[in-house]
Amino acid sequence: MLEIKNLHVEVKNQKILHGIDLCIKPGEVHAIMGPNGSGKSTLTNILAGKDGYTITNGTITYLGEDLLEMSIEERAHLGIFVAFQYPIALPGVSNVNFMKAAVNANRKARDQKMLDAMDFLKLVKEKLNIIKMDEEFLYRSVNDGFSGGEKKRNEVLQMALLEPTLCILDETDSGLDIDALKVVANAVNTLRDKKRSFLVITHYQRLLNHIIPDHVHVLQDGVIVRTGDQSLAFELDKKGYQWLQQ
Amino acid sequence: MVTTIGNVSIGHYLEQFSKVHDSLPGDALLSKMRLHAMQNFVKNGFPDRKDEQWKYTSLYSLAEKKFQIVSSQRAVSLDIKPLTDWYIFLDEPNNYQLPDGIILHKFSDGLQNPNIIKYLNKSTVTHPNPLLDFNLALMSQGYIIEVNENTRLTAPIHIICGSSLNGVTTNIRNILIVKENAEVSFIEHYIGDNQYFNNITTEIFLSRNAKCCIDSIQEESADGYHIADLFVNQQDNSHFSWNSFSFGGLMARNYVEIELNSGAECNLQGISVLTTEQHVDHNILITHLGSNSSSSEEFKGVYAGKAHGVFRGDIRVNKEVKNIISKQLNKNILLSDSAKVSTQPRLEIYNNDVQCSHGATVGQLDKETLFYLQTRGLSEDSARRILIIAFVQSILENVNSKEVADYLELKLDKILLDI
Repeated sequence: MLEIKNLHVEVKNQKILHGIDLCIKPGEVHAIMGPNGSGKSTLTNILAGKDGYTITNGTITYLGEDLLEMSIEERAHLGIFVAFQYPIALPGVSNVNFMKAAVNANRKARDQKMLDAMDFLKLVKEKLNIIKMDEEFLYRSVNDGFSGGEKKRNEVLQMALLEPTLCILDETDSGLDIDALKVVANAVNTLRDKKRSFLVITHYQRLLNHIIPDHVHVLQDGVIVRTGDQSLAFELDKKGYQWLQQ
Repeated sequence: MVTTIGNVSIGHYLEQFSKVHDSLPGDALLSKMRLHAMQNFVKNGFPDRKDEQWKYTSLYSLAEKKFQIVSSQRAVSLDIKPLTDWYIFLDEPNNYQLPDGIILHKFSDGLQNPNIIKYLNKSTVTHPNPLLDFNLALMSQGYIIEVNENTRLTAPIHIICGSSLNGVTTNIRNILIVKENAEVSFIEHYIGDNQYFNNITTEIFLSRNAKCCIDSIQEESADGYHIADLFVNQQDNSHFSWNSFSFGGLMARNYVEIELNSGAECNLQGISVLTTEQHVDHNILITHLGSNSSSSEEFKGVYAGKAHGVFRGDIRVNKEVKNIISKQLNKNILLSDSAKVSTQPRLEIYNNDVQCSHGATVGQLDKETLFYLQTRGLSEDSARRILIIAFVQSILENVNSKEVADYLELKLDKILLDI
């Protein structure tokens, strides 16, 4: 599904990623763990299509197509979704209008019938249950004045609505208390199926107690230094990232 | 004042004036006033940029043209439908169906009526403007409306000024007199096609406890000149709100001067969205004459292409008055490198019992925000449109009627397709 080969990336002439290889198959959950400055955010931004990064070597293919050739929105249409660490606030844009515009932009690109206001409202109300929020949530401005937990729930709500095939969770656990973490993790788990894959990017092992990964990779100084299963996450939690440098 | 622009056209207008003077409405006294005003205009000429009030708005291209003076523009070939059941087409002096308590005077009758004449040209004019003289000399069209005491309207009255004649100038004089305790709202709508010059002066008199709201939609032709001066005299505890929506015109200038007596309140707001080589200027002077009066201004501009937006806000608070609240805000978004904004908020306060705030910003659409929207599958263009609508949302929310809100939503969707 997603295949990253020998990816080298620079930002303003500074080398950030030095040859990443990663292969994600349909239905798999991969976790990438790493300390600050290891290149986790760079990887997320490259996958999402953000400006300002130079790819000096390597390839990324997604569903057999060259991902790096695609615009930001084309990646979304093809099923890539990023739940951001710091979702942007949109004062003056109601959540419901924003999500309807996004859902219909994707449906249009995927040759599906656009949803009218009634159909959309029905759909979004179903999805609200997943993140345990009430309807009032829809009529607030997107992420404007939201608590950390509300912002993350809102990201997961969008994920549920846009029906992506690859979900990238960028430090979704940061800033969440344990209850909010459980809600978000449970919501993610309800979206897991045989076709949908997840890339969970995190500092800490605690999110991985709730979203059980198939594979765990450790990213340090721009390279994947170790790959294993969930037990690698436990070990890292106990011994710290220093352990791998020894 | 010695003019440096328009020497060619001034002679042309003087000649035209002498031809039409006798046929213009009004009695002998008004005829004299017109003559005197024309002499002033000829003496002073078009204002130029040496005048502080016109620092950022050049009338050069207007003054170089010789428009034919006509008594009325024509709305007939334009596709305009009234937004409410009560409406007036300025170019057709019919017996319009209007609610009880609203008296619409035929323009020529109004100018002969002593009850109206006593208001004509009685507004305080702090900055003399030769185009006011031009208007007084040539005024031939406009709405003259009296609102009786205690009148309450359930819906706004839509006043439509359509312009479709090419190469002409029309001088429009509007007089609105709202008596005690009346509450009214109007939609003032300028719309047109071809090249023309509308020179508009509006005088509004609000009696004690009167409430008046005007949603002013300016979608003049992309080649049109729209010079509009609005004077509002507010008696004690009256309330005035004005929402200015500027989309059209090659050049649109709005000069607004408001006098607030005790306890009076005014709220002025505006959205300007220009996409081509257009110019819009909002120049506002609010004078707090009485204690416990309050004013607020919030103007937002979105400029693309080679558009130029100008805002100048002036607030004056006199020495003796107390407990004044005044807010002024001008925010702008530039969508291209060649668009520009000139903004100048000013306060002149001569005492301490005042809460005033003012501010101005000029920025661009935030790249991080656009990126966020695009990751949700929205194209860059759709993302920009969503953010622009969000930027002006706070003002759209305060629009007077649902009809106007719906109209503006469609209008903005259409304009933003070109951005």
